[in-house]
Amino acid sequence: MTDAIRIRDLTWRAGKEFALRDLSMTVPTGAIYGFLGPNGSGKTTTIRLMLGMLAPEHGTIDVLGHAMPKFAHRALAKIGYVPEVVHLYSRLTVDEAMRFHKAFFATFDDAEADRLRRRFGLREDQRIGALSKGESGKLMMLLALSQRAELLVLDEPTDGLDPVIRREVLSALVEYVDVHQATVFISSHLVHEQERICDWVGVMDGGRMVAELPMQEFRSGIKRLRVLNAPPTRDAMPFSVLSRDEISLHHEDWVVRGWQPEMREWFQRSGAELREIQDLDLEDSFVELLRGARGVTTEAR
Amino acid sequence: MFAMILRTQWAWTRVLVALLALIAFLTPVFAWRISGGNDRAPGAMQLIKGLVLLGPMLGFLALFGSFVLAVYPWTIDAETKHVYPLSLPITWSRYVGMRYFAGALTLLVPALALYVGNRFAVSMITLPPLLQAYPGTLAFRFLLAALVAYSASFALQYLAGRRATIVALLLVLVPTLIFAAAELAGARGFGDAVGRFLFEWPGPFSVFSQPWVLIDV
Repeated sequence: MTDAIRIRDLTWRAGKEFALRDLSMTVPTGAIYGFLGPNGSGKTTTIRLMLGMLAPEHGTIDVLGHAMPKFAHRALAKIGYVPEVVHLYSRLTVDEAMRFHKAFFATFDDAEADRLRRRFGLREDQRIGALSKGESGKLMMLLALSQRAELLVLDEPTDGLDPVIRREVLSALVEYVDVHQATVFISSHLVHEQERICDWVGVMDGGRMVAELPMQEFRSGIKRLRVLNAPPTRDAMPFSVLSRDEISLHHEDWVVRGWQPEMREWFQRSGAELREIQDLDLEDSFVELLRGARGVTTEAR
Repeated sequence: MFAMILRTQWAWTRVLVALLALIAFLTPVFAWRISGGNDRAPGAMQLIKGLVLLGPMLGFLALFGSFVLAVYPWTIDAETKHVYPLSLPITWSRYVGMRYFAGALTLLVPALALYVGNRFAVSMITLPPLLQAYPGTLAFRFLLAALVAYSASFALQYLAGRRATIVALLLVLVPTLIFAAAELAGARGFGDAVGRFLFEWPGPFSVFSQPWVLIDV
């Protein structure tokens, strides 16, 4: 399987306050890749670099086989992009926006655009500047889906939308992926939404990639362990400790990544006792992953 | 693609273009009244005198109108940090080129209106022997002046981006300071030389400094 997006050692700086540092990422072709991270973690900047809107200081970016930003215009012909905020010309009507978009994308499908427009309840003569946030979101999704893109890059596409519109937008997206086997890169801080549709997940924080793994592994591989007489050592642990909190004199709660049932033996060998194993939901896993990356607790990985 | 860029350009600037066209049309038509002519039928001399008085306004119109036509569409793109054009599958230079030519094409409308106004004004008078009217030449000169101003404003805005205001101020301040310094130092020749370089033929802004003549020998 080839990779739809491949980023290696990417560095980018905006003044002294913000930087992306040594970021590497791989999005397999055909994957629905959830890009998670708190607000301000660098998700939108990474997307803009990925689309050739910004030039990296260091590192390489390949999207659909094209080096970015040099061949951005070639890659963009196959990419449907829905940004975080409305980027369309507010003075155009829905119909004018569709015609404008069509003029630039040879693969634009008129019939599909019209079908989606009806499905989303958008009128042709509505001015973009007068659309609600939900309607604008639907229009941007309509344009991205109608251009028959191989790769959809969606930056917080459902942020601020009410649940009904969010469901409409996501179901249109899932239908599209089913039919066209497109790759989807979807950035969000809404963890539960990602859990429902993504098969890969990348977690970003403070301009760094904290984790990148299949969703199944992310969902099942992060556990909270209650440990009695926990050993102080970090040596030769078969899993990664994301956080370690002292509960009482002899009890500690560990959040670990990469857990497998056979790893129980390690505690016995270390003279500790594993009292309990708790499953974390995706949101807790996400939060613990970030805590671990930030070194909030006494132990780091 | 270009048709759609032109369409958006027209949608955004048509009110301004129409206003420029109206002023351009009315300038020669009513020029004879400016020179104090109250007769029902204007004479050639009244029209000539009127245009001597109003002519510089055509230069100002070309300058101001072109500036707004260059800058306004840029501000619309800048509202969204140019994200939409940057997400289109064309190079940035091609997009900017198309935006430039779309704006330049709209300048034809006021130039055409001026030509029609010139023809209309000339049709109201009887030209004495030896004098000739040049309605097309005046309109063409207006178009050239507008293109020079438009190109300079466009280049400044697209190349300097957010720093355009600072660069524009520097472009005004630096020559002003040079002139002032030359005056104070008594080196008037230097200031004159710069002025001649910029505003006399074949200087880049000479199109603004020559008399705006509709009727001549």
